[in-house]
Amino acid sequence: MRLIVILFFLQSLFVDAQSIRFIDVSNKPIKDVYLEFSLNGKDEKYSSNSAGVVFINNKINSKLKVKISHVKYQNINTYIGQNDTVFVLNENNIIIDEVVVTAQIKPTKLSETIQKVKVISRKDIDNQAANSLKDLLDKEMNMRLSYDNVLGSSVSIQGISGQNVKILIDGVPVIGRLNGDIDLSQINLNNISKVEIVEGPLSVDFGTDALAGTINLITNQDSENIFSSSYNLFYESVGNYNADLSLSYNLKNHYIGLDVGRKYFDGWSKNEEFTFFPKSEPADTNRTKSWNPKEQYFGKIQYKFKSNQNTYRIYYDMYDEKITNLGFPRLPYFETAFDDYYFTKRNNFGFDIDFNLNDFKKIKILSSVNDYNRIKNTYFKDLTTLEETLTNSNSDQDTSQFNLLMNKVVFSSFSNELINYQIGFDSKVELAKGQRINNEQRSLGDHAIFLTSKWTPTNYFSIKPAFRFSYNSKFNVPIIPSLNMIYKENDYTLRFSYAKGFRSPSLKELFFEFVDINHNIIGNKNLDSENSDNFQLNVDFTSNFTNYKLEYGTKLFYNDINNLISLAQSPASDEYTYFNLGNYKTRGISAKLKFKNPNIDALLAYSNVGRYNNLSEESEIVSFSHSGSLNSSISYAFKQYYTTVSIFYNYTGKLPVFYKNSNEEIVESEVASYQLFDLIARKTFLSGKINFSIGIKNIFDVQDITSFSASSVHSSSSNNQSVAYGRSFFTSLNFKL
Amino acid sequence: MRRYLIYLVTFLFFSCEKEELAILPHSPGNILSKEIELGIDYRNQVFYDLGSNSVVSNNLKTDWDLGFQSSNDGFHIILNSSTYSSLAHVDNSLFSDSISTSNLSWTWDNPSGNLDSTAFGDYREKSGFFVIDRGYNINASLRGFKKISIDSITSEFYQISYANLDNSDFNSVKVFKNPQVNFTSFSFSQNDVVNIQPLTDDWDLIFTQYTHLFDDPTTPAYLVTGVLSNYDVMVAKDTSYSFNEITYDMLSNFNFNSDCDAIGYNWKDYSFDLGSYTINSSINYILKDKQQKYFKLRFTDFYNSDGDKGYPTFELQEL
Repeated sequence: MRLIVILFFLQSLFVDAQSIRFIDVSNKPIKDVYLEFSLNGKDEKYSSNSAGVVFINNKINSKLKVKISHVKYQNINTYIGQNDTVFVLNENNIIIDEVVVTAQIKPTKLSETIQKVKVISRKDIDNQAANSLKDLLDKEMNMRLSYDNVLGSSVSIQGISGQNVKILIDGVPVIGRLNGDIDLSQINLNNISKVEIVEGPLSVDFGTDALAGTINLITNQDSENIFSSSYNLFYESVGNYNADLSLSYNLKNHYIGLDVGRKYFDGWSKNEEFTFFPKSEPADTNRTKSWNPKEQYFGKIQYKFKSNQNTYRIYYDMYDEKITNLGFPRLPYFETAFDDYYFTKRNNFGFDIDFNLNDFKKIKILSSVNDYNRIKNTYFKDLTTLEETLTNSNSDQDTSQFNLLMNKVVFSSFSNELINYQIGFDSKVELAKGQRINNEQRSLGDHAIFLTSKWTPTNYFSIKPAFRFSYNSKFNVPIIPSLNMIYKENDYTLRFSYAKGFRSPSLKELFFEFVDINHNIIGNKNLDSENSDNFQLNVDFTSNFTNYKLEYGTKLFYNDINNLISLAQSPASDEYTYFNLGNYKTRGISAKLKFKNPNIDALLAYSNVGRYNNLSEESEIVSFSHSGSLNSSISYAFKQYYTTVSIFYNYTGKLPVFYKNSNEEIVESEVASYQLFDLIARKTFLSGKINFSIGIKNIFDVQDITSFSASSVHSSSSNNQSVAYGRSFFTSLNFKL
Repeated sequence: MRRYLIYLVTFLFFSCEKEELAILPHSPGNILSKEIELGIDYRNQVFYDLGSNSVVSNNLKTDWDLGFQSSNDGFHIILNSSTYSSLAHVDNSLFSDSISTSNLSWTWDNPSGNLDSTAFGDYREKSGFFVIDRGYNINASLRGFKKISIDSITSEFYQISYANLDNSDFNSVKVFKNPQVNFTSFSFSQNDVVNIQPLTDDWDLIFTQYTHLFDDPTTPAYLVTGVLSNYDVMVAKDTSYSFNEITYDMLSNFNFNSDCDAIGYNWKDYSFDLGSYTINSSINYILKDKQQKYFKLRFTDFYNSDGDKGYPTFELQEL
């Protein structure tokens, strides 16, 4: 649909200053509209204030060519005269170009970002009925999820494992990596307005771990009404019971938001009989679940104050989880069992301030304290009396604690059309404590300065070189460069990027100590960081037609990681320790086709990721194992019924694996392919006050797949890998006030 | 009205963890059961008598160092294999020389109990002396070395000399044989004989850690936790019958063996998946004790009721 511009010519009220006003169709002023023009050979740039007004001091004598732009509206080029003018901008409701904030000098339209960014909107989250980040990412291209009954779900991006994936909430890193991975099912989406994903390194902006990709969750921090509330209920037949409540109060410059929620999962095993409500079961051999029961509580409170120039926000959030891992009753009488309980607590506190020095220069300050605590308790349970005893074995009871203190100050300047730049200071102090690092508190400080500049010599072309200089308290970090380029002409966009990524050795890899009769693993204090070179090429083509939009995109990528930190036996003794050894590479290609019209939203994507086989250096096997995957979705909006029906289909291809068996022979095996298929319908009542969804997840009833994996410390084994918990029905209700 | 509807709907979306229902315990019938306390760190050695289903005596595994064969013509010496003790023979230097342990070649006693397969062997014809690595304490710290020479053997005593490797703490003592036990135990820490073994015919099994010898050159010996039997106790191992079906009439079907480690340690496995020990309860042991009575035995647990490991538990029935 075309942008409708209505011009009003009014008598000038001021002698010297001319005012240009921007409003939307409901007569609300629009802030931050840029007005640019060239007068007397000088480029001038203005932006509208909170009343939607720009004052121009210079008296314009004749018709002047101007460019009007705003992140949420399409750019327009027009003329203004001597008079005060009001522009009524009619928001285009078919194709909303998303605005991206992750690693941008200023908020930027998705189609104009110099890095290729993927945005998952709240609407997409709702259409997929996704509750946690895990639900969302299993439908994304170039990503592969894996699940562990105790450690949770992790994602690999572009064939690189989860320890190299950075997860952020409003730019603040999520901590609590177990074996390097963050459990994605602990990251709730209840108050998330969108998710931004960047494949490839963003180490210049975010430092360590942002090597394979960065996932930034943007929370709701605003509301249109003075008082608003949202109440969500979700039930899934495998035994998910979720409820959460969001309240917000928004008066003048003040905003207060409160969220609380609870999620309960009653566990799932094959051949489990369906019960609508969990009931007491006999403590027999069915007590062990392949998906452990868990209970989560979470809450967040935030306060935001907006002055004319600046924004201040302060928040606190907490998360509490209990995973119950009931042991298999022990032979021969099945009368006793070892039960493990895992308690995870997260507490995050922080504030951020946006200082707008003027319309085109700003300083952003982010400051946060994150606390993560995980306790494992093992009980010995007598199943005939249900008596439980905490066991005495040292390794059974374990506490790990991580803390992160972060301070980040970023100065951005975008007054000049030709060169925008950003200078940032990023300081992080990480603390860890746990039985297996000798119960000592260990700390790691990482302090960095980063410089980013974006040079736009022509309208078609921008280039963005960036550097990060780091000081680390324990090891050397190289200078991290990145270079991004975008070339945009008509409907074509070509992006190229080179970026260096790095991952610091974790405190565990540096200081771990696990010595008992079966283990002898010692951290290595002399480790260097892993670093990678990433090359990406993206070609995108967009065609806008009167009532539909077509997007086609292709991506090529190559990652080369050096100094890979791996666990290996030291040559001199029988202890295992971490070394910087070897390298790992991935390469891939992906292509997607998107179609959008007022009713239909369709996506078809294919990707093929090749993972490097280290063993190819010593024998004649293929150097890359390739695995393809297909993602597709169609949403159809029956507008007259306020109903959207969506289907999601994913095929994850088989993954060839090579490993050495106990006779040192190289064996080829594979992780089997699988398909996930969801059907979801969503209906809105009372003009959006009630949303109701119903659907079937995993229609093909995929549960586990065969996989053969060679584990490093103990012998190789063949096993089944859990993918999903079978077919399930769900329903969700959302009430808004 | 609408508000109540929301409350009602909300109720449908909540659930919580339900307490399990207890299962019925098995009925033991006329089968006896016994739990042996080795301790979570396997510190104890427990002597056990089948006929009375009772513990005869127990001691800390570090209470002794050497066992001297007690019969009149006996000359064999055994190491304390529960501490992973090992022995090296030295014949190219004098007892009073300072000894370095780096170039010694170490041997262990064979847990089968065959006296020709001990680390000392028939030392009577050998010149030189021996160095003993005393293995590990209960907390896994090293117990250190001693050098020892056996100066003479009579029907009543062994004359031995021993010292630290730097010649400090030199002792020359007579170890008098106690003919009522298999081996007279001696402790370097006490510099004296210690009372460890019960009378020869009073015990059938000893629950203890011991050193198992493997055919693997990288791990020739390894400390395991299990059961050794007394001399003349016969053991047959069966996996083809269920424990309940084995009767006296079937004894001729079994192959009895007199090796001391015939029961051994393999009746349990460590499961890396579960992170705990599991019992292989399909193994039945048929035993003939010192009093010529037959028993069947199977292990049922390696944990006590607090979930602590180091408590072998078994079922026993006389045939």
